[in-house]
Amino acid sequence: MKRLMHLVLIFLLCLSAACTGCRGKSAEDALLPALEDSDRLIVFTSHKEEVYEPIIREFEERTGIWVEVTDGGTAELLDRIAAGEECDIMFGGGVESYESCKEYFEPYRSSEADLLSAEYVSDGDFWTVFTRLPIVLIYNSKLVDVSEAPEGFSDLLSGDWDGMIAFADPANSGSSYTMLVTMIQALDLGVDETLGAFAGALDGEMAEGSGDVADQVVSGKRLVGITLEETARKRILAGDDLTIVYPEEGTSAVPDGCAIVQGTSHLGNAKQFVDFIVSEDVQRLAVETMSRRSVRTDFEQEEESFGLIDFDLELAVQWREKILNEWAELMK
Amino acid sequence: MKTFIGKSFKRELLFGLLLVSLIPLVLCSVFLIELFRVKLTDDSRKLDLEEAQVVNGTLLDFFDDLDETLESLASDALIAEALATGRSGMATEVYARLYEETAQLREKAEFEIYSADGTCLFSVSSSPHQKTLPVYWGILRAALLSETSEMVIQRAQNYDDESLLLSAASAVLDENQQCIGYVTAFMDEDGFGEILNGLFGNQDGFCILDEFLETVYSAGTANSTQIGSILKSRYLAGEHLQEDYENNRVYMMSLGKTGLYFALLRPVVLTSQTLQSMYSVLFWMVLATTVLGIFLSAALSGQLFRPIRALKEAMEKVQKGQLDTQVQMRADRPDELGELAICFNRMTLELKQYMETQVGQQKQLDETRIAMMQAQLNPHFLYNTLDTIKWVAKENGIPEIATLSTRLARLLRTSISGSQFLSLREEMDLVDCYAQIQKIRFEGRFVFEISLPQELCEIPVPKLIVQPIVENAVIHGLKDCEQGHVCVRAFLAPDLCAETYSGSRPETQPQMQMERQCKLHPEVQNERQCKQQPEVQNERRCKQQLAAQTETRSELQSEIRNKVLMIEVTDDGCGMDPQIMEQLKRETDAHRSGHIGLYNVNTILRLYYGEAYGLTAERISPCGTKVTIRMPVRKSPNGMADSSVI
Repeated sequence: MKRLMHLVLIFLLCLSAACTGCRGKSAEDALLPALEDSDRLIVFTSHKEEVYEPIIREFEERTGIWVEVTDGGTAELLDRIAAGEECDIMFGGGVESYESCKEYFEPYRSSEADLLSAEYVSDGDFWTVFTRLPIVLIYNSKLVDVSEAPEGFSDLLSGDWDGMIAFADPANSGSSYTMLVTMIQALDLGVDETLGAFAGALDGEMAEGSGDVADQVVSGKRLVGITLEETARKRILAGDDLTIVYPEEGTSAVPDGCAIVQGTSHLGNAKQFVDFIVSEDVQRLAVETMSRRSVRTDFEQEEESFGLIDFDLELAVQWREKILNEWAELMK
Repeated sequence: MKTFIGKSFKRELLFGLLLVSLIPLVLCSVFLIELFRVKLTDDSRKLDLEEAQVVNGTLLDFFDDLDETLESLASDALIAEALATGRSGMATEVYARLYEETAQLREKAEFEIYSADGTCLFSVSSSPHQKTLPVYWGILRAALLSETSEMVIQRAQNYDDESLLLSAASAVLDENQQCIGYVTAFMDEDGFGEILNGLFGNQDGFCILDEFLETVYSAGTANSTQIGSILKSRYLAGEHLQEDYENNRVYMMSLGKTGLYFALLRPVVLTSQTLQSMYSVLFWMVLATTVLGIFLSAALSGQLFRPIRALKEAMEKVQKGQLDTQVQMRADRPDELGELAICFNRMTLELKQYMETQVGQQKQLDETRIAMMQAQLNPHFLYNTLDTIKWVAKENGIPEIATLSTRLARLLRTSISGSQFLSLREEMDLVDCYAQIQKIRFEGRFVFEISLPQELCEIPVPKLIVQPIVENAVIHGLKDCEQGHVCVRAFLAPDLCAETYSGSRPETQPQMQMERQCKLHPEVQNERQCKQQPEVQNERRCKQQLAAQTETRSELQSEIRNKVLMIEVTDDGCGMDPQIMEQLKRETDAHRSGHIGLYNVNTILRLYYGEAYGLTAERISPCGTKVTIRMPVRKSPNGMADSSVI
């Protein structure tokens, strides 16, 4: 009996082995050589696809390095890096976010560093700037007459535009926070007063994300908005009826950044990437096709027709929690 | 497991049935399904590969054509001149050349000519997609860097016009190998659709990937499954690229020097759902077979087991003593079980009858014993009376009466004592007592002699076997004699009888049986024997007796062991009736009209020792009779005891 069972089992085993054997012999992929670890780069980016895609594409094309891209919000990605997720490069997001997380970054001084604008440089080279993003006011050029258009931040707080201002929630959008701080620093009214006045002008409503601000103004839901020059220019290029106003008080042009994550296993590739994004070609592409302003000083670009305030980056980093809490209180 | 199955016939049957039914079913089905799958998969793979080869060929042909066209445009003197001089007056000729060269491919791609700074100068499309292209970036840079007029191909990256998928460019070089412009070809979805039209069905998917496995073009199921990004993530994770994906087979091929790849998706012929359904059919079949097996085994084992259980129960009843148990079996059961039941019924019936007979006999025996007990009423009273008679006779000076009563008392005591056996000496004493009494009765008309050699004194003999013969001799033999002579002589003779009989009936057999009996339960039997003797009231005496007998036995010299004890009783009287002698020989007790003592002795001896022993009687000359008792010496009285009781 036992022997019979054994025979049956052996037969079944042979059968299954034969079956799986027939199945397993598929032609092995000699199509592509296995990817070496030295040919990889993992990039976390908070840029839009139209920004990062051509750059990474060209980087791959020129270096032969395979880039794995993960996109998301700046805060989310920085959290993931802090949590120890494998990543070599953080690309995109205002440098004030970088400044607050610099313990996660590997110091690197780009080969082009000397040619870059000295305005915003990381102490200790924890991050490298990519492009400058001035903050501007926009208004719907069909609904608002040029003569009535606001000329600066103070006009927004004058009471004429109460309930007609589009502004993204700074809790969700890093650039929106930068705008709030820029306004505080440009107006010189004191933090609490500025916040209080602006909160009053907003009428208790904010746009979800930074992208919605231009939408609201274009659609006429709001008449004026605060946004980045890049966004505004793109919409105008796309044919939307928007007009850009550079605030008379002056504005900030906090750059977005790029940083090498500490403990990266692809340090060489990461350095190449940082050098690449501040290279002339990429900067030129950013200016020509992405409506951004280069951080290179050797670069010919459109005359800057606006005044810049002396934006205190460190203060912006320090204030962040306090201001956001206060703002949340005010907007309740 | 094994013990669990082995404990019940039903389970064994079920297990066997399942084994026999399930193994072939499962084996066959699995084998067939797998064979079917392997065959089908192989066939479809071949077909798919053929199709992939066709697509590959078509695409390679197209790219070869494209390369040729671009190269011929780039090396065209007219175009080179127009680019070098920048003469707008040559536009018509350039367009004519452009249209002529691209006639074959214009359906599939759009051709444009760019100046060295990336401005679009000529375009075959009515509205050129872009007016300038960066020469420091992308396709024009790649063409410039190639330093030949060979075609370079890149995935198109223009977010203003997303319909463009693939760009190809060749640099136009002057005599100094300086780039003076570019000829480009852009392909959109329609272009690919034109090339691949009719090459694959709507179940299939198709996808072109660039060298970094980014999707350039995808159609059909490749579009819906996003196979491009799946393949890229597979490659990055180091997995096999051509694994099946969502019931689609994935075939990947390289498109030669273009650096592109294409992936073909074909539906898996035998999807896992199909296999699953096949296996689920198998599962239900197995289930059905199992259920069938359970029912069948229940039915079969019921048919087999019900009569067996009935028999078992009947046997248990019989064991408990219900001998009238009968197994009820269906009449139309002609098989072995039916026979078994009939045999069982017959057996119990016979057993019952036997037991009834036994009980009847036992009852009879008990009655006899009770009668015997009644007959032995109060022997002490008789002894005491005889003692009183003796003393009264002595007081009155009548010594004969005293002697008579003394002898009678001894005779009586011995004859009704519990022991079945006496030593020969005691038996002879008994006979002597009897003779003394008879002498007084017949006033000394006969002489009585006993000859007993010392070494025979302790041989055990059944009680009262000599006395009846002597009585017979005195009463019948010396009936009419004035002066008779009775002589009792004991001696040993070699056991001729045993040898004579050994041929036909080996005497050792019953002996051995008896001895074995003794060895098995000597104590029990002896004790029982003792208890069954009504007059033996204390066990102590019984045990003493047994001990004495054992001693006696051990004292028997080994030389006399295997011999025959002969006890002759001779008288010189009138001689025995020949008819009686004849009857003694024939061992029948049909006409036991007289001489009961003789017959009894004969019967006792035969019962104890077997047919070879007993009494013989003969006349002796000139007158008289000689009666001889033949019995073996070696018989142990213990061994005989049991048979003597029954």
